[in-house]
Amino acid sequence: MKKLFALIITSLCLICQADEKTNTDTPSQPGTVVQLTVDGLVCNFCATNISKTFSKLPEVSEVYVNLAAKAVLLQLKEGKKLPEDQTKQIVTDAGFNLRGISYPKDSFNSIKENLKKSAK
Amino acid sequence: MLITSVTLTAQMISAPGINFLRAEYGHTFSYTEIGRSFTGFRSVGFGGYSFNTGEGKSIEAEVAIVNQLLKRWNTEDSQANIVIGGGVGRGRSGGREGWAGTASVLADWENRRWHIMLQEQAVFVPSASRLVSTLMGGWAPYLAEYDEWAPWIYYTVQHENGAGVGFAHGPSLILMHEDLLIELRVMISDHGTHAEAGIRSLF
Repeated sequence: MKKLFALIITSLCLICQADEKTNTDTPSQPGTVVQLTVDGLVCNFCATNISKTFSKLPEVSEVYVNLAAKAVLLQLKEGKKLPEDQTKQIVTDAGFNLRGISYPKDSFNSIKENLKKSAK
Repeated sequence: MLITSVTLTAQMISAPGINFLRAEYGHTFSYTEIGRSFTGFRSVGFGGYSFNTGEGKSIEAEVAIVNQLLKRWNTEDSQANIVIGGGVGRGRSGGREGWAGTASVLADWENRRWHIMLQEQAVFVPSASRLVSTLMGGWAPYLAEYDEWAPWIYYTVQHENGAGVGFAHGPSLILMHEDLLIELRVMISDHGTHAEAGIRSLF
C-alpha cells in the first residue's frame, strides 16, 4: 500500500512538472498587462504615435498596437503600475480617445498573437 | 508655368515629443522639413523650399513653420482633422531677397480604407506668391497592420495661382510601414507628365 501511495504521489508530481514545462507562456501577474481600446486609431502613423508615446514611459517595457482591434497592449515592468487616469490622459494628449481599458490575465505575447490572428 | 507639389500635413501633428522628417522632390520643386510635435497638438518645423517654374521664375525660401491641430474628431473607425499652419523666414524670387511667409489650412477624414484631404497652401516671398489648392482621395486595396507594408492608392487634383497657374492631376502610390511613409507620384498637366517622390518619417 505504501508503494502504491508513493507511486501515485510520484506520478502526480511528474504530471505537474510536465504541465509546467509545456505551459511556457505563463500568465502574467494581474496588472502587468494593460489592454486599451482607442478611438481614432485608424492609420499607421496613428499607431506609431501611440506606440512611441507609451514606449517612452518608464513603467512600460513593451508596446504592441493592433489597428484592426483598435487595441494598444502594454507590458508593464515588474512592480510598476500605470494608473487609469494617467493612461487616459496620455491617450488624450496623443490625440485619441480612450474607449476602454482592461487588465487581462493572459500574457502579453499570448494576447498579441491572438490579436494578430483575429486581424487576419 | 505650373508648379506641382503635394503635402499631407495632417501627419505633421504627432504626439508630444515625436520628431518628424519630410522630404519631397519633383520636376519643379524640392522641399525638406524637419520638426517636432509638442503638447497641445502643435508642431514646429524648419523647412527649405525650392520651386522652379522652368520658365525662368523661381521661388526659394527657408521657413520656420508652426502647425496647429484646431480640431480632431475620433470615432471607433475613423478620424477627421482640421489643421492650420503658418511660417516665417527668408525667401528669394526674381533676384530679390526678403521676408517670406507661408500659410495653410487642411481638412481631412480617414478610416482604414479611405482617406480624403483638402488643403490650401500659400507661400509669399518678395515679388512672388504661390497659392495651391489640393484635393486628394486615397484607397487602401487591403488592410494591413502598421508593422506590415500598407499600400495606398491616391488620386490628386491640384490648382495653382500665383507664380504658376493651372491644373495638375495624377495618381500616386503610398507605402507605409511603421514610422515610414514613401510616396511615388505622377502629375499630369499642360506642361507634361512628371514623376515626383516623397518620404516622411517619425522618430
